[in-house]
Amino acid sequence: MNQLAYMIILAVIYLGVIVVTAGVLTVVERRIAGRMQSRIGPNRVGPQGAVQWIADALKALQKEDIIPDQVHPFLFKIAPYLVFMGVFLTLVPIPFGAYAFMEDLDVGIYYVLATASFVVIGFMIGGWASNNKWSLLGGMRSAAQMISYEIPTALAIVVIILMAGSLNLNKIVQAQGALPHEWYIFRNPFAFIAFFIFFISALAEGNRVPFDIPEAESELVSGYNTEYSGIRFLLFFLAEWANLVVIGALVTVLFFGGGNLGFEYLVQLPLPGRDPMKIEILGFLWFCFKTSIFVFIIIWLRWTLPRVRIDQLMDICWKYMVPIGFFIVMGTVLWVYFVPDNSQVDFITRIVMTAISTWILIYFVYRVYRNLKITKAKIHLNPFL
Amino acid sequence: MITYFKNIWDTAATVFEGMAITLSYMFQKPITVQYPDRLKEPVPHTLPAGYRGRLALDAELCTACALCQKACPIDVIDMKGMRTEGKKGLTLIYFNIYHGKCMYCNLCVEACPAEDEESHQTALYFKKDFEGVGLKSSDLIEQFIPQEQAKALFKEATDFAEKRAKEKKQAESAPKPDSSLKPEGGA
Repeated sequence: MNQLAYMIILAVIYLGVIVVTAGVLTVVERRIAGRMQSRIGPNRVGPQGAVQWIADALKALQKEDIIPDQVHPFLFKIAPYLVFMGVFLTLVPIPFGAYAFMEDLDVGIYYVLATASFVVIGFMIGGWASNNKWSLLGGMRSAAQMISYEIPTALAIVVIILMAGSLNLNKIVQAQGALPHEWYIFRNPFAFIAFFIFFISALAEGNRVPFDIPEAESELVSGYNTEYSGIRFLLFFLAEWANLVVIGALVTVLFFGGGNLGFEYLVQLPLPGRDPMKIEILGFLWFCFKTSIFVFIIIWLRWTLPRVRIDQLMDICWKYMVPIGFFIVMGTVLWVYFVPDNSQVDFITRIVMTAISTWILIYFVYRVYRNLKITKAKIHLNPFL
Repeated sequence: MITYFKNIWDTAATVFEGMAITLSYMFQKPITVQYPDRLKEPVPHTLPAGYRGRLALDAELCTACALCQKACPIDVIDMKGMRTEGKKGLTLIYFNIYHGKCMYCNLCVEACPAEDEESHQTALYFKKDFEGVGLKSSDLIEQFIPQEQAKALFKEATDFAEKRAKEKKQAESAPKPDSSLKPEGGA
């Protein structure tokens, strides 16, 4: 009984946090989108539009919950919950800090892959139950896309599993260190490619631009959710934005060392205020920082790239991502077998990979600077307008 | 095979460059003008010199000459000037503008002879006020002399006119001074 109450309380806390995060992310996304298009974005409701998402949610709640005549009532009603559940359940094993997780699952990453499939079922049911050709097309597209992209996702995750020797997300985080050269992305060239494959296919699974054809507004009248209104429509969007956090958190955990600050070393060091609790909070903040960077990159990609066509989407998956995925799995197997951890080759590779990535980053900053210079526009860094 | 790797390279390079461009736009100043409340200066200050907003009257300057009323082709201006006691020239009794009719042609303002010496502002002028929406049709009729005051002024003016008429009558009925006393004219 006690256990049950504890779990319910934890679930409610998680639900509250993820709903608020998803809500705030909608505003953040719109502000970023605005600045990238030389606009400002919503800045009227509350200070700098901070509570715009509450206004949007209240508006959607006030709408009539329309269930059209010809739909299948039960399936139509249940679809949004399935989608939201699929996204929400993936949060269970994600370690937000050294001890901040819901459940230390030994099958962690496998569980994440499995529960993410609820989203496909939700989209399919929503599209089919709507009894509308556009919705059905959207649902079918989404099923084709998400099932296809689960393969490269899984292959990229296999790379990490091979390197960590565990499915447990906590152990994956602990196997990485606090510094960049200890992260899995810079361990070997195959893991570096695996990061991009994982990131791209996670975007496709989350129906984000450039892979948002299931709900392509300009083609499908918004796809599987056309017939939905009010709070059910909102649940689809809540799931989409919550999924941003899940993608960012997964990328951080799998490739970028999670919230690992080198906990064991820090506690032993003679630092002032080496309270384990403080270090735990620092680790949580470190994790949130990394996650928010990836969330920003996903948002940024959305406002950069055009949508791919359905055939291009399938080409990218089956002709590029899957073969490369198999290649990197084989490469990692060989690498793990022939290059033991903490050997000289391993260490040199890590340093070289980190150096190359840093150089790419510096070159990128230079390109941004050059673009700013070419346009001769005034630089305006203040985000509050 | 070469095309295969070239495609991958092209994708990576173009996405890289595209993201650099969008990020550079994020650091630029937005061109949005936050009309009408979050501006550096109020909107009327930014309007050009010849802007014609609502028609307005400076009642202090007005000489009640009625030139504007005559200039207006569509009877937007309804005004009356009369003489009152102890004042030289005409006094403005009432001055109503029917904004609903006005076509902002500027003819009345051009006709207006009364001008402020310092600012060269004519008595009748166009305000830089562009929000001319009224909720009732009566909002579009502007009375520059309030109705009560106009009534009082009208009474005063009519009284004065009667008084003058009486004086004139008395002057006429009074015996005329002898014409022979007049200084010699050209007769």
